[in-house]
Amino acid sequence: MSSRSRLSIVAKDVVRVIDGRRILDGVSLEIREGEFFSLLGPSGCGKTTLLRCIAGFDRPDGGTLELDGVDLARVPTHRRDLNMVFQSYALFPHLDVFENVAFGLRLAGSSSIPEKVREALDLVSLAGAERRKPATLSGGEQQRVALARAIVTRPKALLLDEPLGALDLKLRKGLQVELRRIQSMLGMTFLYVTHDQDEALSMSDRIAVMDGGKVRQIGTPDAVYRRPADEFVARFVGAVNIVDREGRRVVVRPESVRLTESSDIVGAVDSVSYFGARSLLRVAVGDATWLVELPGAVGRSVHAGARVALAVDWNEAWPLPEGAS
Amino acid sequence: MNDRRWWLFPPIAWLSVFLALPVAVTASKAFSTAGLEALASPTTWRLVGVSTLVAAVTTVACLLAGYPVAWCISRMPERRRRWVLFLVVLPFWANLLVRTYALMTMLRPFGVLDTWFAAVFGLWHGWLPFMVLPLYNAIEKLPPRLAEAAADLGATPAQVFFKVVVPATMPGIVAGCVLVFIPVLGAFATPEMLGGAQAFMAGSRIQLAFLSGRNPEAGAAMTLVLTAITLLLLWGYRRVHRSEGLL
Amino acid sequence: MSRLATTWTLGVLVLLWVPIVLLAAFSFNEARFATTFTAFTLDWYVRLFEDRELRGILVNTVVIAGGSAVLSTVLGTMAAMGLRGTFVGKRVAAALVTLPVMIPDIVLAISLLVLFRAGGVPLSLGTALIAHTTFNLAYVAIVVAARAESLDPSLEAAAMDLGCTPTRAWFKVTLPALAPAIASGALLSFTLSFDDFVITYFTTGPGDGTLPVKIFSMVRHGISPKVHALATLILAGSVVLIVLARALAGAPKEART
Repeated sequence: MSSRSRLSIVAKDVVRVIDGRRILDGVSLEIREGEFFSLLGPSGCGKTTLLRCIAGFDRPDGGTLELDGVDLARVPTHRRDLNMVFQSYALFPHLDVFENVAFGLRLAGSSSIPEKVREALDLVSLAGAERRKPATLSGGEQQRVALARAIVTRPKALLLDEPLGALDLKLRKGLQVELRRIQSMLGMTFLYVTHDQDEALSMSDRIAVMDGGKVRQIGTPDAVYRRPADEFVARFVGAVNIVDREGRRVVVRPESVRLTESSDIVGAVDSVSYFGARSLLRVAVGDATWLVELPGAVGRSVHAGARVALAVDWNEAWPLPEGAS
Repeated sequence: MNDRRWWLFPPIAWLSVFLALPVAVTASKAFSTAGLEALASPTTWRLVGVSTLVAAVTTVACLLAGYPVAWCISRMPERRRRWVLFLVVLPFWANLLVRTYALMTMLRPFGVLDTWFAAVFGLWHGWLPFMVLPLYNAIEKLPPRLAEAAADLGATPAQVFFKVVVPATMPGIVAGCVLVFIPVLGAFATPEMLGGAQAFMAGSRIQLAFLSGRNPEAGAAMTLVLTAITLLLLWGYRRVHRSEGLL
Repeated sequence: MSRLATTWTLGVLVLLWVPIVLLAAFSFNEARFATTFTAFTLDWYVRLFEDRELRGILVNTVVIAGGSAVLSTVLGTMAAMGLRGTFVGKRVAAALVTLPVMIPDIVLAISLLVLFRAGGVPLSLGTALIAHTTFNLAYVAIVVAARAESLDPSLEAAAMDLGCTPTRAWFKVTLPALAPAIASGALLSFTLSFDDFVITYFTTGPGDGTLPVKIFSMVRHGISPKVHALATLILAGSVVLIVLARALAGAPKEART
């Protein structure tokens, strides 16, 4: 457990200003060695800019970035022991799969290149594709090659910029599981940028939720989901009801609400969305709309227009901190 | 759609009569006694060598001048890029003879007219756009973030350029070189106007052979050599550069 | 690094354009043998228009360019249509169609000259017209084929499904869709003809010269502002034509004014 406490990437008060806009507005993070850490936020929140600053493609205007305790300010991109996986893959079109993966090894003058390449391709389940050109591969395969190319040199950390963003849903789900498997096998630090909260929740050890160039909350997926620091985080990470209770703003996730015989929360069903395993109800209660998640079969028996009573499991509710926006 | 195949007949017939046939007739002339004599003569091959050298020098000069230009254009913001591209391409559509004439008037005060330098400069000037366009298309097509990915994997800026950017744009480089080399090899108006008697190339030899009326067979032989070199280059080019379109 | 490339690009652009701008400027210069600009005049242009022989040459140029544009547009479009899809011998046919673009001008010119001489055909405007049509055909085919490639192949099928005969379907659906490319190909071939020197030089009869051929022979008698003026006019003419062709082709991705 002692290695867990060693720090890999550290950002202190990082500021980046582009055209007068503060894209990064004092971001501080401490990412531990071997951690799967996600930067989650809407587009334009600064997560990609932070990643590019760490990789060395962009320069912060203020603050410091460290990798394994070394200040990165004067280290050019090609000397940073970090590799990036791009959303657009960025495979070298003139090189085949083998040579793409071997690229970093060759530059480093590494020994036993064929073995290392084969091992990396095995890891991403692409053994046998060595002599194919990137243009003949599917999007998912290209991203596997990009991943193999990035991990084969065993960098101190891997930076992943929405690597699954260009793939379709089914492929994405499969690769999410695989990425996580590869990460824990290698024990490598992964810094993962995404705007997809499901992805961040299911894969990460810890998540930093960002908005407007600032970090809103850092925590485990469970903490971010069940104990959001503010309303933005609560709304961005999953569906939510925010209600006033005893003078406090309280976060109630839809799955903490169920139908009951009678209660003081009564309303008319506005719509029912059926997802198979579960159903999502929108219930109009006075001026407010409640989101209620039910097991699929239960939801199917409810019809729009029906009057229902709602029971809330207040033990699962989370009061927002006073003064948080 | 397939029943429109017969539409090919008129154009193919035209090209058979006015392209394939004349090339064949010219080739047969080259294989006459006088033609074979010319083909065996070292003067002919010296001229072919000189023309090839001039074409090669011009091609390299165009490549060296054109690559930074194509690179720079591809990095420009959309609006400016259109304008600069237009400025590069426009002279390419302007009459070559007129442009050569313009160069004559420009170079004359410097006293370099009627030299090899003037001839090569004129050829460079005339065919540079042929180089820039394919280069630009190739650089434009590079996947985004390619240079960053290479730097990220440990390549220095020079390594990024020579190990990734140049090889990845090789199809454009080859296309540009073919597009410059072939016409320059057969050029005759430009070297004659700018290089005078000094810049005597294969094209001038052909012109002289036919228009002075003396020894057209030798001219046919030279034409055949140029055609052979061209076809060889095109064949090689097609092997390297498998394209989907007609070109 | 990028500033160096920008400076370089600027330098190359200046080298490309300086001679052209100088030429145009000196065509308005009063002095005959000056290397400096003395006074503005339109005199050289007036003299140009008074030149009767030149007017005949202009007519020749336009007749060859116009005639070959019409012929090559029809033949080139047919070639592009016939080359759609895959079939046995396509590579050979495609190579033949594109060859005139690839071989040096002088090879095409000399080969045709040899053919005409061998067949006892005297050189004339007609022989030049044939030569121009041969190389323009290739350009039209390439332009039209590029456009046809982006055409939805089920368009004609849809038209036939709605009751058109195949021929009607082509005229009703494909032709209108290809019209901009065909028009652009026609203008392109007019421009190429208009500008051509080498092929015309070898395949036209004596006294049937075109403007570029005339310039070539005028240059032999020395540089004069009158040639400047003629060259400037040709330049302006080609520029107008090419801008028009681009606008017609509707190529928004590339340069347009």
